[in-house]
Amino acid sequence: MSLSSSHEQRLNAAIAELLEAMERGETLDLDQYVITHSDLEDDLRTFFQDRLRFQIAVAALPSAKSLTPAIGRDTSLGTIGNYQLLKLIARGGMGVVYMARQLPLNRTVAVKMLLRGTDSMPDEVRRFQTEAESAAQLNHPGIVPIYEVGQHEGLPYFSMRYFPGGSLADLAASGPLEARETARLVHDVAIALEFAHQHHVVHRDLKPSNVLLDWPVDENPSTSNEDCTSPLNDSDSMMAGRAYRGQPKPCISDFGLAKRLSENGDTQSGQILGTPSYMAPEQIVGSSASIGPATDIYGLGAILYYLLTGRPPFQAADPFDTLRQVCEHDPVPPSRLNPSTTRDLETITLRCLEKKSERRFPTAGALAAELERFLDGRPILSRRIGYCERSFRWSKRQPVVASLIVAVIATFVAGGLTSAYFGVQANRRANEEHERRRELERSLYRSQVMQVDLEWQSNNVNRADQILDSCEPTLRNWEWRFLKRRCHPEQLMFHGHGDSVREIAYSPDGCRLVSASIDKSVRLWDAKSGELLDVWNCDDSAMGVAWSANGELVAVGLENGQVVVWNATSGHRHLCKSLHHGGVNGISFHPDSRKLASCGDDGLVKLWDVSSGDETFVWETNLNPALCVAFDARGEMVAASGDGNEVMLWDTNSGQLRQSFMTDALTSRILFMPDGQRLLAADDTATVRTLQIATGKVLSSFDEHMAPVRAISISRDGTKVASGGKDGTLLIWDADSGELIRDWKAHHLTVLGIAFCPHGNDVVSCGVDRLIRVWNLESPLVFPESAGHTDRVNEIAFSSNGDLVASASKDGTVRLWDAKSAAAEGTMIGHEGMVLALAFNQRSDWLLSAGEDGCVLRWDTSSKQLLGQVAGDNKPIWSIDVHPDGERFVFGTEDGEFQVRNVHHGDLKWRQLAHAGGVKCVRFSSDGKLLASSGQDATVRLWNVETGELMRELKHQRGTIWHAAFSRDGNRLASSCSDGTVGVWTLASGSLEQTFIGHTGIVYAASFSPDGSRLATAGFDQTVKVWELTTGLDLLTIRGPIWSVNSVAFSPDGQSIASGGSDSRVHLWHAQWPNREVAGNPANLFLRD
Amino acid sequence: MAAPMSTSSSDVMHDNLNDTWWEEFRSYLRLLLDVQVDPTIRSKTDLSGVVQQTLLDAHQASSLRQSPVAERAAWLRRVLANNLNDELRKYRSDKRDVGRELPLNSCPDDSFDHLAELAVEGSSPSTPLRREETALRVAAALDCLPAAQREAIVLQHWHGWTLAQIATHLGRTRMAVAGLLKRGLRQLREELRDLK
Repeated sequence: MSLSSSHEQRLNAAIAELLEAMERGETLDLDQYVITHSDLEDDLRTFFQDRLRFQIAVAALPSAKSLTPAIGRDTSLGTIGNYQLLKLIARGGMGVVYMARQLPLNRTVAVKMLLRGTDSMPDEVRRFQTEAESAAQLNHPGIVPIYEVGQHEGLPYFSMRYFPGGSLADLAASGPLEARETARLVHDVAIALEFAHQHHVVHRDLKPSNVLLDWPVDENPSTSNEDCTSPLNDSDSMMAGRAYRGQPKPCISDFGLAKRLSENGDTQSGQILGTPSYMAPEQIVGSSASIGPATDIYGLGAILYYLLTGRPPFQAADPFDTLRQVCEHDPVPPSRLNPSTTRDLETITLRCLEKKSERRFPTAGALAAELERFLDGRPILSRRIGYCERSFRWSKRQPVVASLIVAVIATFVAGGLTSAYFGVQANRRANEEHERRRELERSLYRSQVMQVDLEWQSNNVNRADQILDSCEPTLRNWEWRFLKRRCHPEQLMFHGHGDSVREIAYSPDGCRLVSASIDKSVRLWDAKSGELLDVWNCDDSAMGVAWSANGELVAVGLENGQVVVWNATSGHRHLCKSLHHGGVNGISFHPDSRKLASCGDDGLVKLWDVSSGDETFVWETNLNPALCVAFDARGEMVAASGDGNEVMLWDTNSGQLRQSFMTDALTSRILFMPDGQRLLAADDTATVRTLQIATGKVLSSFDEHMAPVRAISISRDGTKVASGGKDGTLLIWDADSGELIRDWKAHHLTVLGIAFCPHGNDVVSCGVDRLIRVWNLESPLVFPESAGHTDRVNEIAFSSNGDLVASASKDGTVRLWDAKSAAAEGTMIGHEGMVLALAFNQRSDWLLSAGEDGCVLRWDTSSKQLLGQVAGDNKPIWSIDVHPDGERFVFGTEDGEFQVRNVHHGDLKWRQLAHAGGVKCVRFSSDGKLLASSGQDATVRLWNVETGELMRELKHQRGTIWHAAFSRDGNRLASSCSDGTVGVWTLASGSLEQTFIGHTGIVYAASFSPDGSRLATAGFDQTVKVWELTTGLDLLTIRGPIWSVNSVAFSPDGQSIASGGSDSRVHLWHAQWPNREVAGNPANLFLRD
Repeated sequence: MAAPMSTSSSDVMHDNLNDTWWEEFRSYLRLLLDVQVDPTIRSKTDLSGVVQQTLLDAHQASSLRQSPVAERAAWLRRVLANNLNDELRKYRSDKRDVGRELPLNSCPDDSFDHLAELAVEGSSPSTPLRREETALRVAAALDCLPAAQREAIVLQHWHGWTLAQIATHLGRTRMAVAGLLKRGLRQLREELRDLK
């Protein structure tokens, strides 16, 4: 064994030696080599044969070398049809443009090809073909001619004239054009556009890069394509270094979004067409019918603007901000950007850019004529509008639109949801404008809410939060607050850094925080209020930060190799010293506060004196780079880790290497456990390991992270570990058992730093999202707050004051819970068999419970004592309710009848055989006048409580009606049915108003929100859904535990939803932060600069 | 075990027009990406997502299942290039946020330019059918190797990395890398025994 393994080692060494010789360019002489390594001969020959065999086999695959760019090689890129491809000119959303040679004619052309097959993106293909066809029929010197349309291996393409002279975009790239030149160019484009419009073709995507330039050939012969034999020369000739002289003729290309005026258009495909900076407002918020020639006039205005100023009329960092500006803002007058702009040309430009298409030039021809007047020096006809008037007019005219745009934009960002917008838009085109907008808003709101949920689930909390902020305020309701709260589980959030926050540390007293950021600043914060106390600027990005144990000093390691030490109280620079070549990756204070350890890119670990800056020890390591250093609690050892998969420990007194061991992966963070016996190591494989220092043995592994771990911290008592990394989560877990205690979606992208507060239960985290968040370990354990029975929960109810939730369970008990914290308030045992139903009285000082045993028991809710049995000897009771007068109650039984009795002595007032096969639900209306009963016979019946008269029969659904719920105002009733639907009935007429379809199984329960705008439902499909009454659409689906949800209720204040189900638990879904006094918009409370 | 080897993979794919023909290309696409994308940025990008998306696109392109292997491979390469392009664009837009964690010298643009050209290159009619089959076989065989062996081979053969570079990347010694190459190539020989 040892022999063969040493043979393997020698063989590997020989292979390495030979391969490296080849790397150096030496020729391999195996025969020579094996003379001195005869025992390895066979194996070496086998290796090189295997290698050769492999190289032959993979000749079929593309080699990286053969894929170097075509420029500089004389081979072609391949062919498409008759076209030999010469050069990749541009790559757009879905297609590519090549410069190519058309072989039979030997002319240079541009070939545009769609990179998707016809099956995957029919919209794209259709648009592409529209482009080709509509442009092909336009024969005008100002429009780029299309030569041929075809398909290549299922991919559509077309060829067109090749323009080596660039576009208008290139022309003004280096600065604004002269006014007359601008007017001349746009005049020519307008003439060509007028021609297209007369042929019923609208361009819809006019922008400078779509207007190509045809330079006079004779003035610069080498630009002629036909003269150019070598494609390589031609490819180099684009714009660079080539002086084009004379006046170029503009030529409109890329009718990619062209639309025949005669056709209906294709906006139903749900795609936003156009380029944000040059899009007309009606392309964003208008109906497709409003897009026409005037849209192109706007495009011409945008081109004018660009040529005059060198920038588009609207331009924001984010395309969606751009869209918003297009709709909401007036462009900055060109003369402000380019003072030499003449007043007339500015007037013409701004008239083109009017938000309302009627105010623009009526035709491209009219614009051409106006430009001609300008060029001829005649007075123009357009009138100028004052700017104040403009803004005022716009915002006044379109108040709804202005807010709608925000919503539209957020939906665009959300992606893929535009179809909701356009779907509704198409349907409502004929309707009243205002109603349509409102409907749109609702539809958008729903899309946004659904997107928030998706983003949250995929851990994009920031994105989710942004979308929430863009939701129309007047539509926000429970679901919005619920999601907002879910996005902000932290105690406190503060921001101010301009870039990723690399590391964060608490002061020893836990009152202050110091954060180190790539933005070259170190910030000092009040840990309780989040107030920014101080900012210390650095010469370079800060990599790591440490606070001395005596609280006096803060040390920061920089990317330029410096370590800077500040006095934490005065903010004075105590020391600044260059210690490492390359960055200082890790920094740590010795417990005595007098020494510091640092490590860096240079692989060195240094121990040095803070007051003098003298280096006590310098250790060389194999770590490349060294990423992290840490002291043990007593300061006797320092450990370092990094790339090189090694952990090294030194004695801080003698400087001797105490221990070193290899790890399985790159260890990015390392800490000593307080016992001094173990190390905690986070590595690139998403694992946090506990290592025994004496042996290097892995004692335990924590594997809950989904991506490499970047930060770890240990609580002072050593019982808890916090870890975070590239999955964006902050996990708190038990240091010994590895049991997960908390799971927070802490930061967008990566968590970079974590620190436990030395006192109390706070943890702070920072990340690439530039945020710092403080978390509290006492905050509710799991989301949602939940508490348990030992068996299925059949029904839950809120007390009328909203303080308590009661639950009836199959385990035979009724339990009371605190409605905020879900803490147990008491257990009431009295039934034989399962408890199926319960109901509070109006004052909530007592409640009734009923069950399988056919008994109704009355309980005191404060003492939890049994007040008495008020009914008995019945068939199993499925439902119970207390009349608002507190004197009567009703219960429904399995044999199909309900009984109304007196609460105190149980006297029977009224019994009614109501539903064949069993009564599932009985409910009094809130005014006490009506009684609703439902059951197995698929019917809801409404009874006059005083007369016993049957008022109405509500029957439409197919299946057992498990639950009937009155709205608080008594106008509506919701019936949840085993067919998966929920019917909403108007009680005044008895008509079915809406049917909510969305659950995929029996709907067991429904509950109206107090304001009547939402309905919560729950069912067999393990979900709780929140519906909007106006649209009849579900806004939010809450997936809890994987069990049927049997009961659901809105709290009286409308802030919480309680649910109970077969998972034996009661869940509280709060839309409000329980432990905080929140005034106004809760979201803003946590944001401070 | 010799049976599936003796049947040409193209026969299998022609005869067996079931709903998962594209699965045969998974290894191939993976390999294409590994060959194309700068190894230093691989971990920052969701390459398996790119492969998955491409296969999903293939799934939706129902007409493709009738086409010969070469055409399908060409189609997949093209779509792969496009999807990779999207992913790299995402990667670049993230770059700002990821701060200094990324090697700034790596230029993803190059790799997808190459790939786009590759797409066109493969469409040449003179390309022998045989070539695609071999490529699929090699890719599948490479996928059977332990990850480190596969990586060492890919880095050495396609990216031309030196032993020292591979050693750094994999966190092993140069000798250990030689061992990886040795074992990997040995297994490939076994897997591809019938190829030539």
